[in-house]
Amino acid sequence: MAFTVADVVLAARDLSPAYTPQRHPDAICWRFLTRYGRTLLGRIAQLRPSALPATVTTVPLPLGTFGSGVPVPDDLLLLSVSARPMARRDDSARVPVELLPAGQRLTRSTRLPWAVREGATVFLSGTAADWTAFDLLELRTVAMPATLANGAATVPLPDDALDVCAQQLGAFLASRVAQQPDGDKVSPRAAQDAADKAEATFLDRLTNQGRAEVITMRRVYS
Amino acid sequence: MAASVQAIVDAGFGLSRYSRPELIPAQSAALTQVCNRTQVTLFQFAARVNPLYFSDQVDVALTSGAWSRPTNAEAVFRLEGRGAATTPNITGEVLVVPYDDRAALVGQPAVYRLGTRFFSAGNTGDPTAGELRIFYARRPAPLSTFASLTDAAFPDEFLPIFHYEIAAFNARADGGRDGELQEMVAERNRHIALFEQFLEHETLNETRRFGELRRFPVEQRAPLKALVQAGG
Repeated sequence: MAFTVADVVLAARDLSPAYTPQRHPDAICWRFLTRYGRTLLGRIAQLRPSALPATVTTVPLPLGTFGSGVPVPDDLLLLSVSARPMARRDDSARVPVELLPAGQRLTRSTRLPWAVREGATVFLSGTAADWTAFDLLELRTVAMPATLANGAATVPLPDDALDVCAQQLGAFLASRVAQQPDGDKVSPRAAQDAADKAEATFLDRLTNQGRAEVITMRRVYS
Repeated sequence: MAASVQAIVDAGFGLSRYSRPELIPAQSAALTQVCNRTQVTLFQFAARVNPLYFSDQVDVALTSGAWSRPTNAEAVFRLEGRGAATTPNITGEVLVVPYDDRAALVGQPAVYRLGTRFFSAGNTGDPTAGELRIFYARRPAPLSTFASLTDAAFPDEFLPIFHYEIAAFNARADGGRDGELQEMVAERNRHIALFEQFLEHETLNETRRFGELRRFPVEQRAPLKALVQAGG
């Protein structure tokens, strides 16, 4: 069961009577959660991408303008690229497309298919003629989370991240309290320490004690 | 139970053996104004100490592009949407943002204030039409004649504030009456202190998630005894 932005704000406000809606309106909390959610998802994507749902985007081949490449939807991580052979209409048939570091594109000498990513575009190797054997390209990405613009919005994180988000929001609010001239007795350092500990515990659990996954991008030494 | 201005004046004149009740008809306008100013002062003080005590709520429709502040509002402390009666449909609080930072809380329904009116803050989701419910600490209806009654919500046990204010007014008009003015003011101040305490403690069992109700940027306020007419 997913949790919402309102769940996080409620849990954070329960951390201290100083975190009042009058001094710290919901909209400010939502903006922080948008920023923090993207940062935390980025770390998860880096450490254990399989913990996050993939967004699948398909692009028909041939491309309209081969040299313009394939636009990648707004993402945190490009997990994989694959192509469907023309001869096999079976939807499950895919040929993995190796993703190479952009710097390797001119030195790559092995057989097709491969591609490089530059910015928000994936460029296929060779020329359009090299891809005539394929009719579809499939991109699997971890999508960039949308802006959390209201309390009903679902936070795109695993359920057990509720406490982490609440602790981090609490630390953010504590730093705001400390800046107020008549601020209550709240220790921003203690709040941030608690939040960082919660985040570390969560990431440890999620990533099996910090052992990261190895993903697709492969360097080629030749 | 409300008291009439007549009853207050009678009680006030009865506090001193130097009083001259035969002057009441000639002084009726001035005495009524003393009662009125005293009541207004007490309500204004209450709005800063305990805004909820003399409070009210009213549904205000959009007129000429804005929602007007209630004419008897001493202190507005909350605005809410009225569900389907508000455009767009808003059921929770509508925040008041500064006129020069209207995008401060984008995502939460907000208005800004200018003059005595509230205008839509202009962001997506902000109210644009329909009604808003305004919660406010109110002013009392004016006491304009001897038949006028004090506000029904004003506790009778604090009517001596009015009585001693009338007595002090009379003593001052008579040149102080050899120290009687100070005695009347002192007694009035004792009742004022009781009223202040009442406002502070009248409801003790409100349970809040947040420790205290802070509605003012400063914690200072003028003592009530310095605000009423006879000084003190």
